[in-house]
Amino acid sequence: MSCENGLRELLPFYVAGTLGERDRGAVEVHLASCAECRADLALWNGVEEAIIAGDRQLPPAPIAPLQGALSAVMQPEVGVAARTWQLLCAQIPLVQKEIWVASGLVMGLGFLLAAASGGAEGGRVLEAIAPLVAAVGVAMIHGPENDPALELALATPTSPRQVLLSRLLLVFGYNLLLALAATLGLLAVAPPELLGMVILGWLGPMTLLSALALVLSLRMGASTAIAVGFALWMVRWTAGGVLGQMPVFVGWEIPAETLVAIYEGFWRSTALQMGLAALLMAASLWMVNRQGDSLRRGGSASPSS
Amino acid sequence: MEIALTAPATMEDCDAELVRRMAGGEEQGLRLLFAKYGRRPFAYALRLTGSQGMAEEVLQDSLLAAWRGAREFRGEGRALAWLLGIVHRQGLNATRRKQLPIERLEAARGVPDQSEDPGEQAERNDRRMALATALDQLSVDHRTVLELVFYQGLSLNEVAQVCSCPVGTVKSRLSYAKASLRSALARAGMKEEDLL
Repeated sequence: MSCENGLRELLPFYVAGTLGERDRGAVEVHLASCAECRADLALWNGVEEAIIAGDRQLPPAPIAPLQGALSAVMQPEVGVAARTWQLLCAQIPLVQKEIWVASGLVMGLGFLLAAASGGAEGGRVLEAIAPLVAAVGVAMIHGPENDPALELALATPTSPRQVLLSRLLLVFGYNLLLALAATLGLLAVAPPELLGMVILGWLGPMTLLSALALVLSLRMGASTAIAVGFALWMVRWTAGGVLGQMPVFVGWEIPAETLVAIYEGFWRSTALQMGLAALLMAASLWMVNRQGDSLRRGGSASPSS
Repeated sequence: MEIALTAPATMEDCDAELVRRMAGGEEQGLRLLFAKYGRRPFAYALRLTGSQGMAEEVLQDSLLAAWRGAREFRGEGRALAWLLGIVHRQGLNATRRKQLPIERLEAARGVPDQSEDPGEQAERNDRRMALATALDQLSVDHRTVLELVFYQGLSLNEVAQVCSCPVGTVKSRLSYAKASLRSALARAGMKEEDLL
């Protein structure tokens, strides 16, 4: 007999006893004359028996989940802003204390040097120092060599991305404030119209170098990240002098002057540096999530895993 | 170890009333809901996660989610289906978050019926073993549908609600499960007639 009327699909529910009276009656009438459906019925009866037998041997529900839920219910709900603030405050003791002290000291010395130089020269001193100080600090915010409690932190419900973002906000924000304070302090020895240029002079490089230091520290470790950032920054300040001595590179068609112009143009383009920094930041968030999953699975915590 | 909870004040406490009390901030509503249904969502969480510890976490998260979402329950259908839907989502999220393969609990082989003839008992156990093994080999999607139909006793629409999928998908999964089980039994040298 044809089963096109869909009664065969109702057989599991017939066996489970959850069909309404009308459907149940229709199925029983159909079964009397359909051998295929009777064969299906035998199978479903066996499935029900196996599943119920299996589930009867499962342990009963413990009381602890209810108690846990009731405890959480009795606590007032925390808003997003409050949770963010709690996360930031919780991360402060977990960031290496040396970062706060060293950044403050170096920027303080840098400010004194800038103030002594005065004018545009003082601004260039801050443009040279601020990005490097921030990059070194950011290179040291994550990874097992910087965070002995990393595995414990990964066992909490807070995602690795949230931990990384909150630490980045703290350290980069701290260095940003230091650089702004030092720049404003230059008002004593430099014309006010210079300040905007000075800020733009270090803001883009600070963001880019920090993002690069972060992704390199996740991939290769803090020491390598700091060394690479330092080398890149030194090249930025000496490229003009070195490249300018060479009229044309051997084998290249592009004159050295053009290369120098392109290179220095890049370091003056805040928008380009911010865009690149955003890409590097996205890569860092992806990498830290993968590292977190690897640690949870019992993998290595080394930067290249 | 399960601790006996206070029985509902009246047997007429219906699901909608329990959830309404939860929505009104009455913790007793949550306690009564747990007393009425606690075992079944826990069993489902165990099937989803394969781990006692994770199942307890999932159940706790589900009870909390039920508390917070109680205002959205419109009373259409049983609270059990609503609660199992929450457990389903929490369970899948938990296993995805921890990126652990969904462990399958080994299906119990059942307790032999002492009143049966030993020969028949042995045959019955062989059939159970074959089916239990075949059930273990199903994917989570197909196994959970069978759990919801045969252990949790949900209707077709309720199963679709729990799994957040169309009714047609539930029927397809049942059909696929049937074909898989049939193939597995055939490989084990069994036929449906042996199950009768």
